[in-house]
Amino acid sequence: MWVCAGASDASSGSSTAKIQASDLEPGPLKRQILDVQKQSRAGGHPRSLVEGPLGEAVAAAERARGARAAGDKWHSGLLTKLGMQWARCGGAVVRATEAEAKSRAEAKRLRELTTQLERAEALLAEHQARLGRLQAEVAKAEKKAAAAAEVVAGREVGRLERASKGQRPKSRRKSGGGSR
Amino acid sequence: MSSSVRPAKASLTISALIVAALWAAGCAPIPHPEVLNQVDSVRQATATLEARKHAPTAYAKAEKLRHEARAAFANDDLAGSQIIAEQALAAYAEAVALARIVRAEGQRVGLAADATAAEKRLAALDVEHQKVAADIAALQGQLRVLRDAEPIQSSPAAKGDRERARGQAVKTLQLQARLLCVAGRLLTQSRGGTPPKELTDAASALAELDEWLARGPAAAPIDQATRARAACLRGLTVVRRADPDPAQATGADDALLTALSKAGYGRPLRDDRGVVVTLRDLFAGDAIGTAGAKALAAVAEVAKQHKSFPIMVVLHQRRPLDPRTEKRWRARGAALVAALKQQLGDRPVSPAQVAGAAAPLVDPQGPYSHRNERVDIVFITPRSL
Repeated sequence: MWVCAGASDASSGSSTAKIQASDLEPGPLKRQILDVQKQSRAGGHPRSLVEGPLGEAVAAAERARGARAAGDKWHSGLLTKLGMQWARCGGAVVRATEAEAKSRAEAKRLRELTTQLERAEALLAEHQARLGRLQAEVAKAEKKAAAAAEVVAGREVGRLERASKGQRPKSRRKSGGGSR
Repeated sequence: MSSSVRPAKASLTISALIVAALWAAGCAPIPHPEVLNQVDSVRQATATLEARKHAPTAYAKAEKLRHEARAAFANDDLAGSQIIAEQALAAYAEAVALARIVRAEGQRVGLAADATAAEKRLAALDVEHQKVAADIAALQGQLRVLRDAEPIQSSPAAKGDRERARGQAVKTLQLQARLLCVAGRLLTQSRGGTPPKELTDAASALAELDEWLARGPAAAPIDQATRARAACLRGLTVVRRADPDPAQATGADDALLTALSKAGYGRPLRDDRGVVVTLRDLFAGDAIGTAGAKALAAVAEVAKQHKSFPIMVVLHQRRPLDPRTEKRWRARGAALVAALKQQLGDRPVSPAQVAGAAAPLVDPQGPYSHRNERVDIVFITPRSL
């Protein structure tokens, strides 16, 4: 495509004038920009987070206003859409930051839980080992007690049998006494 | 003439050449607006390529705008092309941001699922830990008892009143052993499990004692009766320790005792079996009387609120039973259990245990011996106290 070099260049790029969103003409674009700013503030995000896209949106709104003033409705409409697009982009950036923060928080929670889990497993293993040792000790003590009970049971059987036969019971000797 | 025409022609040609040269020098192909090149480079960026996967709709919209910008340029709408290309840039940026959201959300969901699983595992470990800690405490106690226990001495032979007293004690111990073993079996049955070895051993010890007593020994097997009772209590304790959900039973005894006290019927108290409420004068003749039915309904109402306790009914008599009175008391017991089951539905209630006069509360020969006739409704504690 060839045109004269002197043809005017319509691509003006983004405006460098520092205009605040609050200075814009009322309308959907201004409302959208302010909403995104509010959302960002409410989330406690730094101002710089949406400074880029919202700056572009404000600049596009201002360019649209200029085009409208010059009677260029077509380009004014395109510029308004451009502003809307940047505002949407700003909103998406805020939401993305929040989603990432949530994901980080979840990762932190998981790390903490994993640590707790490792500690709990170690503690349980320690207690289970202790339980095993105690079970062995109890089994040993029970075996000893059972052997003693067996002796006592045998003595009682003897007593009952003697009683049924009408025998006079033998006098019991105290342990360790007088057997020599 | 021809000489004058030639210079004129030549000057015309020169003029035409100059105009053509000027035209050629003054016009050039319109370069792409810089922003279109930017769009192309942004489109190739890694983040944008990622966005194509995670946010395909937003990416498609950006692509559409890029095509529209190129079309506007082709239609000589340079300003429009510039603006639409900028819009495409913003749309790519939005697609990248949306892709970040999708990725972060996906990661969060995955992490949350892992965290939930970790929490569940932690809760399970906590329960397991509580159980192990309780087992350790119980074993430590058991070990202390075993180590500190005085060596068992066999009872020496006795005569006269002492032997008669032993005979009575043996009957009481036999009854207590039987009731403890029944409690253990009932608790096992309520959990749908099989009786532990300790309980079956206890049942054997009790059967052995019953056998001895059936022979009518000349001396009372007091040591054997003591051992049988201890074995049944041990069996019940082992069943209690196997509680699948120990946390659930914590404090349940206290709550039940309080509720039974508030109900205002009978005299609730605790013993090795659990919480016992003793009712008197339940029967009018062989059927449950009006006052008895009222008391039974009040106890059943409390039982409905404490479902973890299996129920055992024990009927104590004033005098030792003969076959005729035993049959009569068994019929009364069956009626009582049926009345309870009617109110409690599927709850495990043991067949009525007819105790005879083996566990008197007051002197069976004294003026208040009628106090020995009573009905114990036993709520078997599902967990060691």
